This record gives sequence, C-alpha cells and structure tokens, in this order.
Amino acid sequence: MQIKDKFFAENPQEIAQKVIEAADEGFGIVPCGKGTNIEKYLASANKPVVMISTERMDSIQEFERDNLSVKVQAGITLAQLQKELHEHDVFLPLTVESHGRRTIGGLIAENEAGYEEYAYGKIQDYVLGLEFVTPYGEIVKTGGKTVKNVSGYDFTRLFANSLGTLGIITSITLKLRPEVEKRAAVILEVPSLKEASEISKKIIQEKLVTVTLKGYKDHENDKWRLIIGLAGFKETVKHHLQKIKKVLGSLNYSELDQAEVNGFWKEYYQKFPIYEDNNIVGMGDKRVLFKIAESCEKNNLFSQVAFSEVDFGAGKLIIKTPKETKETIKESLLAYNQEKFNFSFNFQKPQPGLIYKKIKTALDPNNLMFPNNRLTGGEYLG
Amino acid sequence: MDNKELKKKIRECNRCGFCQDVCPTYRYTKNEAAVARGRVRLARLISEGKYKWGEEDEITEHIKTCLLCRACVVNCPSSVITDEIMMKAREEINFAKGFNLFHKLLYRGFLSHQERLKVAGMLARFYDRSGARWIVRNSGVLNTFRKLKNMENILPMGLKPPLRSQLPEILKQVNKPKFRIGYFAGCATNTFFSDIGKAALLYLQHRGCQVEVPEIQCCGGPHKSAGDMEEAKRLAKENIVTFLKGDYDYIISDCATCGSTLKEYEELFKNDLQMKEKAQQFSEKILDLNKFIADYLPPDEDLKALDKKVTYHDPCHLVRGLEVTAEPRELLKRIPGVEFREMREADWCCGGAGSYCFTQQEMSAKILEGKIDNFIETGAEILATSCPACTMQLSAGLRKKSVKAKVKHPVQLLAESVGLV
Amino acid sequence: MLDKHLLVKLKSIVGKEDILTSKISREVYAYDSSPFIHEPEAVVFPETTAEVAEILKLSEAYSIPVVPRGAGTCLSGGAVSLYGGISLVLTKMDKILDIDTVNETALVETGVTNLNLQKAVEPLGFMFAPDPASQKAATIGGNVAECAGGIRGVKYGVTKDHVLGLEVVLPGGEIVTTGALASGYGFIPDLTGIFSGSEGTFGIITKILVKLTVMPETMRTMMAVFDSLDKAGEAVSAIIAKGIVPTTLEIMDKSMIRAVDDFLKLGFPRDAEAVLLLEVDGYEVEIDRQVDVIEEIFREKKASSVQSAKDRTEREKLWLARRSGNGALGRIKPAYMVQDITVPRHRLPQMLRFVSDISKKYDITIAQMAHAGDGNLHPHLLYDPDDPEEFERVEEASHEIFETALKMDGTLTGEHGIGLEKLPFMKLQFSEKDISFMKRVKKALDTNLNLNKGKVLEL
Ligand SMILES: Cc1cc2nc3c(=O)[nH]c(=O)nc-3n(C[C@H](O)[C@H](O)[C@H](O)COP(=O)(O)OP(=O)(O)OC[C@H]3O[C@@H](n4cnc5c(N)ncnc54)[C@H](O)[C@@H]3O)c2cc1C
Ligand code: SF4
Ligand code: SF4
Repeated sequence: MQIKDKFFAENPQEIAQKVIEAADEGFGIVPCGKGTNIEKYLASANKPVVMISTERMDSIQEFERDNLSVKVQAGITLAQLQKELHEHDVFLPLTVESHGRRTIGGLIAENEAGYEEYAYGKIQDYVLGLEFVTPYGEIVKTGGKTVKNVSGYDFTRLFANSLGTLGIITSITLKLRPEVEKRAAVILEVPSLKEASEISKKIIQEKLVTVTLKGYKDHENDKWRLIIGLAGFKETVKHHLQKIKKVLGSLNYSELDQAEVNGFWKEYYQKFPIYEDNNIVGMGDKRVLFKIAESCEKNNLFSQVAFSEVDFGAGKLIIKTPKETKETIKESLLAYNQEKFNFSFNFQKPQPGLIYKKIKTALDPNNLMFPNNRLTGGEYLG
Repeated sequence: MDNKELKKKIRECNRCGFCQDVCPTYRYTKNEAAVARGRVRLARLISEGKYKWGEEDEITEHIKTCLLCRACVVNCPSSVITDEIMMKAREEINFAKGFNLFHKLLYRGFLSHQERLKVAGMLARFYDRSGARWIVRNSGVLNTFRKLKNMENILPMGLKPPLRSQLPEILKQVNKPKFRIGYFAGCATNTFFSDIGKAALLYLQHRGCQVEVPEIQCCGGPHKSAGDMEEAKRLAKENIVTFLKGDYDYIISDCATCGSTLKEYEELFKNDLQMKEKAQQFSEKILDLNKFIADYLPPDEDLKALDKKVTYHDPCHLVRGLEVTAEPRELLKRIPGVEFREMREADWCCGGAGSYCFTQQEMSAKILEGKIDNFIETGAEILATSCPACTMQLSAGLRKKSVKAKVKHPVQLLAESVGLV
Repeated sequence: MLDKHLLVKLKSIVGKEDILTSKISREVYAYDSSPFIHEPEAVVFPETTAEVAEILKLSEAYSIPVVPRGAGTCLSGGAVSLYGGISLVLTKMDKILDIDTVNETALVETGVTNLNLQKAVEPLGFMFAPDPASQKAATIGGNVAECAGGIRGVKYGVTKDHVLGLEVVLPGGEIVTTGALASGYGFIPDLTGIFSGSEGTFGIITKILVKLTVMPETMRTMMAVFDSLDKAGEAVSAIIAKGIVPTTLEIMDKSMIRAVDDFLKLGFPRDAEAVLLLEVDGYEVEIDRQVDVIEEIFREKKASSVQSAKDRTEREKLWLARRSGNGALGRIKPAYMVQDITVPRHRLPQMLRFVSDISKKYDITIAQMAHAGDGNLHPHLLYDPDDPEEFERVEEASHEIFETALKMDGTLTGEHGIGLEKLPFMKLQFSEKDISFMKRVKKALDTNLNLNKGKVLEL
C-alpha cells in the first residue's frame, strides 16, 4: 500500500482538480474527514491512493432558521454544528455523544444514527440537498433547500452508506427540527434480557413519545439494564412517565431528568466505544431481534462478551467480544437469521446489490474511489 | 340535454381519476374503459368527432355496462354527471342504431303495458308453482336464450298474487286520517313483491293514513336508463294526470327506482311549457316510504320485540337519488330486539340496476357476489333494503350462494313488529 | 401495432385476459391526469413480479418501450406512452401482504391504493403518513415513483420518508430488493432513495415496505381569515419559528376563496384576501396549549376571524372549502394549468405576492392555494382553451413563476414531477453537469432506454 498524498482541500474546485489528477495517474482516491480511522484500512489497498480530506471545509454556509434548514461544508464536525444549532433552539437529531468528533460528510458516508434512532431515524432522513464531486471530477448538485422536491432525480440518499465509493461530498443541506421541550428517561435493572424484551414490546404497544429503547450489559456488572428515553412536550413526557411506571409494575427504576440523560449518554459512550473491529453488529427486523435476544440468553452466549447492546427500538444488536470468540458467537447468531420474515436481520459482511454494482460501474468504471473497502474490495466488482 | 350542453358537461371531467375508488364496474374489471373517467373520455371522443355514435361496438359496450349508479357522480370533485352523459349517449346510440330486439321485448313490450306484465306475472307464477321451473331449468331449454336463463335465475320464487288483486281486502276507510296518501304501487312491487306493498299499506293505515292505490303506468325509469326518452315521457304524462286528479297530500313509493324517477318528472318536462307546472306539482309530493314514516308520522309506541340481526343495503336510487340513507336505518333501529349491523360498502350498487342484471349478466353477477360477501361478513340474518329491484337481485344472490337469509323492506319488519303481517 | 410474435409471447406471459390491444382500449390508456395524450400499442396487466420480469425481458429483446402505470393520476404526463409500446398497468398487483405492528411496517404490492392501505392500518391505530389529495385512486407504487406529498406533510414529511425498502424489476428483467428488504440492510448503500421520484424511469417497483406512523390521539382544526396575503404568510412563518409543527398548513387566496364561496355559499367575508387552514395533532394532554399558542399568533398577525372545529362535522365543513377548490374553479374559466413550485418556507409570503403580481402583469386569473407549511405553491392559472392567445400568456406567466421560484432557491416541482410537462425547464434548475450525472445513472440502470423514455430527461 502506498498513500501517495494526503490533500487537505479548501473548496470543491480543488477537490475536482485533485480527482482528475489522481485519476490520470490511475491512483485510488480516498475521501476522508479527519481520516484518523481510515489509514489502517488502506493497508491492503491494491493500488496507490490519494487521500482527499474535507477537514478544512468546515463552515456553516447558510443557516435559515425559519426554513428549518442549514447548509454546511462536508468537513464540519457534528459537535461544532450542534453547538451552533443549539443556540437557535433547533437540532439535528443525531446525538453528539456518540459521533461528536466526526464530520457530517463522514456521517453520511456511513449513514449514522444517534441513540434516538428509534424516533428520529438516520442522517439520510435529514439530507435535503448535496453537492459532490464525481469520480470524473465534476461538481454536481442534487436536491436543494426545500422539504419537497421532485425536480430531476433525487440522489440525496445515494451517498448514505456509500463509504466514499461513489464520489466526494462537499456540501450538505440538512433539515432541522425545533428543539424538543423536554427529555427524560427511565432506567432500570432487569432480572433478565427476556424481561427487558417483554417490557420493550409493551412500551412499543403503548405508543408513547419514546425516543430510546435499549437493553445493555457490560462485563463488570453482570446485570441487564433497560433505558427508556422520552422526548416531547412537557405535559406529554410527564404523562408518559406515568404510563411507563404502570408497565413496569413492581420493578425498581430510577428516573433521569434532561441533564442526567445527557450525562448518562456521555458516560455510556466513553465506556462502550461502538466503533471497534471486533464488534458484531446486526440490524433489521425487530421480531427477529426479540427472538435472538431471548435465545442468546438462554444459551448463555452473553456471558463471554465484554459488552452488548440490544436496541429494541431501532432493531439493532451490538456485541463487543474478544477476537477469539467473535466467530463462534457470530455462527450461533446466524442460526437465528433463518427466520422467514419480510425483511431480514443481517450480520454478514454483505455483498452490495446489483443496483449498486450497476451504478458504481457507470460512475467509476476504473474503481478508483476507495478501491478496497468492504463495498469495493474483493471479488465483487471484479 | 342537447349536443352543445353534452359537450360542455363532458369537458367538465378533468380526468382526476377519483371515480376509480367508487365505481363498481371498475373494481371488477380494473379496466379504464369501465370507469367514469374512461366512459366520459369515450363520449368525448365522439362528441369531438373522432368516432360516431354506435359506430364502434366497443364504445357502445362500455357505455352500456355503466350501472348508472351515480357513485362516481356524488364523489366527483368536478360534479361530472356521468349518469346523465351515459343516458344521453345511449339515446344517441339508439337513435343511430335502433333498439335491439331484447330491448323492444322487455321495455316496450312488457314494462310499458301493465296488462302484459300481469300476464307475465301469472305465467311466472304458474311456472313457479307447476314445477315447470324445475323441468325447464334441467332440460336446458332456457340455455338457448342465455339472457332469459339469467332472468329465470333472478326472478323471485314463491310468488303471491299481485298486489292489485289483493287491494279489496287490504284497503279500508280510516277514521279522521292524518294524511291522504296516493300510493304508487310500481310494477315490481305489484307483480313480484306484493308482500312489501301489503305491509306498507297495512302499516300506513295502522298509523292513521287514508291510502289509495291508483291504476298507474310504469314510472319510466327503465326506459330512461336505456335511453328511450320518448317512451319515458309518454308514461310520465299519464301518471302525472292520474295522481294530480287524486289531490293527495303525498305520493309515496316503496320502490327507490320509481321514487327517484317520479321525483325527476319535473326535470323531464322542464322544457315542456304545457307539462312543466303539473310535473312540478307532482314531483313535489313524492316521498320515499321510509322517509315518510320516519319524518312525518309520530314514533311508534306499539312495537314488539323482533330478535333479529339486521343490516341494510342502500339502493342507488335512494341513497344518491332521493338522498335517503339515515331514515331506513333509523326505522330498523326503532324495533326492539333488532341488532343493527352496518355492512361494508352498504351504498355500493348491487348490480341489479334495473334491467342491468339481464342485459349485462356477467358484470352484474360479479358485483352481486361482492355484495353478498359483504353481507355474509356482517353475520346478519336479514338484509333490509328499500327497492324491489334490489330485493330481486339480492335474493337471487343469496340463493346462489345458499345463504339462509331474507331480504325485506324495513316496512315489512315494522308491520311484523306491530303484528300486522 | 406490436409485432405479432411479441404479442403471442406477451399473452403467454400474462394470459389473454390481461392484455388489451384494441383501438378503443388504447384510447383510454393514452392519458393520465395531465393534458398529455399518447397512445400505447398494448396495455398489459401483470399480476406477479415474475410476470413483470418476463415482460421487461421481452421489452429488451424486442426494444419495445414500456411505461409503468398505477392509477394514472399523474399531473405531469409521467404515465402516458410517449413512444407507444407497452403500457404496463400495475393495478392488478393490489394485495396488502403484511401488516407488522412490532416493526410498525406494512408490505404491499405496488397497485394497492393509498386509501386502501390507510383503511387497512387504521383499525390497528396506525396510518401511512403520506396522504396525497389523490389518495382514493393513486397507488403506493405511483406515490413512490412521484414521491407524493400530502396534506399531513408539514409534520410527517413526504413519501420517501416512509419507504423502508422496495422490490424492483430492473429494465433487463432482474428482480432486486433494496433497503430493509435487501439482505445486507444497514451495511450497504440503501438505494431505495433513488427510486423515489424516479417517475418510472429506473425500474418497475413491485413491492414496497412502508413505515407506518402511530395515529395521533387527537387533532384540532382551525381556520383563520386575513385581509392580506402577506399577513397570512407571516403567520405561517411565525408558527414555524415558534417551534410548533402543525400537521397541516394550507393557504388559499382571494380568487380561490371567491370561487369556492360562489360554489358552496360558505359565507366567507368578501374582503378576505387569504384563508389559512391549519391542523395540529398530538396527545390529548399537549394539544390545547399548542392551539392557544397558534391562536395567539393569529391574533398578533391580525387575523380578521379565527374558527375552530368542535367536532368531526365542523372539521369536514372547514375542509370542504379546501377540497372543493379545483372543482369550483371551473365556474370562472373552463380550464387551468396548475404549477407546483416550492420555495424555502421563509420565502413563501414573497412568492405568494409575486404570483399575485404576475397575474396582473399578464392579465390572467391566477387562483392560489399552497401547502404553506412546506413552501409548496399550487397557483392555478385559468384559461379558456378556445382562446389560444390567453393560453400563451398563461405559459409565459408560468415561465416567469419558475424563474422566480428558482431564484429564491426553490424548485420547479414539489410533488407533481417533471414528467413531460416540465422537461423544457430542467435546464433552468440544473447545470449541464447535474443533468449529465442524471443521465449516467439512468443509463447505468436502463442501458437501452426502454423504460419511460422521454420523461424527466431528454434522451
Ligand atoms: C386531483 C389530483 C390531486 C393530486 N394531489 C396530489 C397531492 O396532494 N400530492 C401529490 O404528491 N400528488 C398529487 N397528485 C398527483 C398524483 O396523484 C400522484 O403523483 C400519485 O402518486 C400518482 O400515483 P398513480 O398511482 O396515479 O401513478 P401514475 O399516475 O399511474 O404514475 C405516476 C408515475 O409513476 C410511474 N409509476 C407508477 N407506478 C410505478 C411502479 N410501480 N414502478 C415504477 N414506476 C411507476 C409512472 O410511470 C409515472 O411516471 C394529484 C393528482 C390529481 C389528479
Ligand atoms: S371523478 Fe369526475 S372529474 Fe375525476 S375523472 Fe372521474 S368523472 Fe372525471
Ligand atoms: S354510474 Fe356507477 S357504474 Fe357508471 S361510471 Fe359511475 S360509478 Fe361507474
């Protein structure tokens, strides 16, 4: 592997220029924000690469509060942006605690979500417009500033989870939400994961202003806990806390106010960094997740792991395990994936589908963009 | 409607497609030609000169498969009068091509002549009682006349003597009557469903109305739908004269089709200086039987419990013609012991649509089947409705699916509850 | 007419019941709800995904254009067969396959109508949030293909915000899945998004996994009358700025109000320049306070009257005016052209004003209504089809409206699509590079350009 160059761009034109130059040389092109995590991936690159960083493109270009929109350069970090938005009583529902230091461009490339994903979805749901540089070095715009827009094709979501393989995002217009009036949470220790999943099912049925619904466990403390987060108008949050209490019956719980909720998540993500190679991540149909959670517990799978999180709201499972046990655990998890439901629950390193292949081939015939990550590496694009 | 007016009305359709949701013929064909938007479009192509009336059989066919149920009309944001456009179209087609044999036989032969209909009724009765029905059905004689075969499936079973022949026993003098009623005993009630008429007459008298049943002509409804305006007018004229002579407070009909047709006499003669005023006087007095009972008579006090689960089918001509929907339901709910269950799509056409069940058998059967399925879903044992044509069609549908349930007019249940029948 | 062999093969795929080729059937599939009319050569009704795939393979083999069609309520000409070929009518694929209350999703075939989906999920306490005015007829597939918006859009967003996954048949006949229906969901690019608003040019959508939304506990409907369009527009901005997210925020201008009032005799004040129709929904405990804040804003902005619906019937009455708009306009002029420009929300008052001025400039009647909470305007430019000179002015006015909306960072169309109608104006909004990128993606998926060619892009 060779990193030929790491280029810190100041504007889209420079990026376009750099892309053209790199392509002429036949070098791979790797877009990055800070790029701290990326270099190690490049170890196995099959050709020399040029890294193009948007780190220095970190300004807020247009903030139109009355339109509930903000246009930013791709290199701005989430924390930077949220701070500004906070002052104006609006927010992007992607929580800083887990992703604060990452750039917006990078968050889109991996289509990230925060701990309130259950209610607010992923970052792709907030992209109104994009500007990007294509693998041919053209600067292209899609979408715009309006919440409704069907003019021409909509490529605002094309880059979500594209992992930098389709182009380099330079600027993004995001849809914002008015800040919620009140947040609160209930947290409790549950006797077993089964209990947590039973309670979660009931909470879902209650149709409350639930924004988080997660069970988690760490190796220090061999107990499962469940956190139920609420956000909304103050009357409603108060009322729904009552309803949750009813569901919990005689179980002991503690209630967190807004400040405590923030504190909780800060600590949570310090303790459990969710981006680690050895994590097993699965997501998809919640019905499968409920089953997996229960069966894993029955088979004592979770006793060997360092940390696990079951997001009953968003339908996601994260297991942090020592390298040695990763494969065996994964094997047993895959067994539950045979369930015939309408949509699947996935663990595998999946193959991107045919549509991606067709588009990728047309946009980047020489496979220059991020040539060896999990989408473009290997046999797949052949 | 003249041609200029027709063209204008046709153009009011802006092709929004909303009629797809309510048009029964579209539901079962999923064919754009069999929904108001398509039918009006075809009429437009003709009115703009691309084709001629009657020239394209396919167009004629799509115009004829319209039930004239008006579901599209009342749901149309632009208030396009598809039913009237279709009637006008049929008139034009008839004009261009002449009437077909079946039409002549049925409409001008039978329905226009009370005497002949009486004979038909008698024949039918004989045929029903004598066992000829069984022989005919099994020997396949009727197969040669496909249309007639379906007619024989739809004709009601167990016919009673016509209403008219029972009148001397039914009608009586009422003391200090509250209202003087002229009862319009339509062809179907008289010939096929004398039970409905009998219950109505007995009940009205019981509630203090003096009732007379004048000799009438067919209301002309079937002729209108077939585009035979000339005959419709001739019949209407006679009826108007007959009833105005009687000077009744109200003219009441138990038949949705008759009722709405009579109400429209006014419209029929709006350009006829001579008849206009009379028609208006006549039409003003027309009331549906349910509405009259519910709104004009004091509430019943002597109803006895009938433990029955009942649902109600809205005849097109009542729900969208005379706009009567709440009243029959109210009457049913009045009866102690009756458990009223609303039926899904209660106001969808049953596919009877006058003679449609004879002329468009396949489509009619599909629509009917959907209706009966909705009925079965309610779990009711009585399917109430207020139109003899619907009664005939629905009964046939129940028979075909071997559903043990009865079709009744709300007034029959009232009469039963009071102990009159 | 199509090649005989091809017809035989088509028949063997779908059965003879499901193919129409007569002159008259082609007439009734030549249109959608737009003014464009182009006849297909055959109308085919597939009933399964496999049939769709077989048909597309044939289309590739014979180079026959295919135009997918749902209910045909498209307002921009998307569903008409510009180059003849096959009109692929998907209304017979109309089954709701699954309603899943744990994941809060429903899996439907493309031809299910929006209203039928609503009816199916309502008893379970859910709704499908997008509710276009055409919901009685329009299909979910058509909603996705046009990225339909609805009355509830202010709070709940547009169709693409409620689609989790698709089953699609690509032009070569390959059956693929995207999003949550694809294996690898969550780890690979989710290409569901590019099909939203693709107007049937990328592939045929056969199944859709939609997100269901919890039915709000309660809702309030209000109507405020203003004596100037500006004040009404400002009230809209003030409400958004206050952090209140209404479900619905509709505006009607004087011409529209008068037409409706003449039609329905609702008794609107004759000096009413603008009417705002607003709905908020939510939980019982929170709703009254929202209503209070909104009423306060209406007072501040000097509404001449504010009405609240007390029950369902009153709500229906308030809505009647809005819903009767289109129909009522027929009383002023026999025809109209309706535009669909959208501007950033804070530009709405300015845009409304501009349109009023334009109507004076070109001496035409423009009746305005707008999904104000989304910045989506529907100016109705009225004309008499028998007066070509007036129609010309209408076209010129439209052009100017487009240009102005774009200058305000707006867009040509918020929900009706480019179709055939706005094709000539694409260049106003997009650079050559933007368009060539679109073409590249189109060709990547539809190399031989058989699928709904001539819509969205000139090819
Ligand atoms: C009176 C009226 C009111 C309307 N109100 C609204 C509104 O409030 N909001 C709004 O957004 N729109 C509205 N529309 C526009 C229209 O109803 C919507 O665009 C609707 O989503 C179209 O659905 P359809 O089933 O009729 O699709 P069609 O009109 O049949 O097709 C629309 C487009 O989608 C393509 N298509 C259809 N099905 C598929 C499929 N399965 N796969 C791929 N492509 C497909 C077609 O090729 C065509 O390009 C309105 C239209 C009318 C007439
Ligand atoms: S609902 Fe009315 S305007 Fe719309 S297509 Fe049908 S007939 Fe035409
Ligand atoms: S009258 Fe009835 S059958 Fe005829 S087009 Fe209208 S809805 Fe359809």
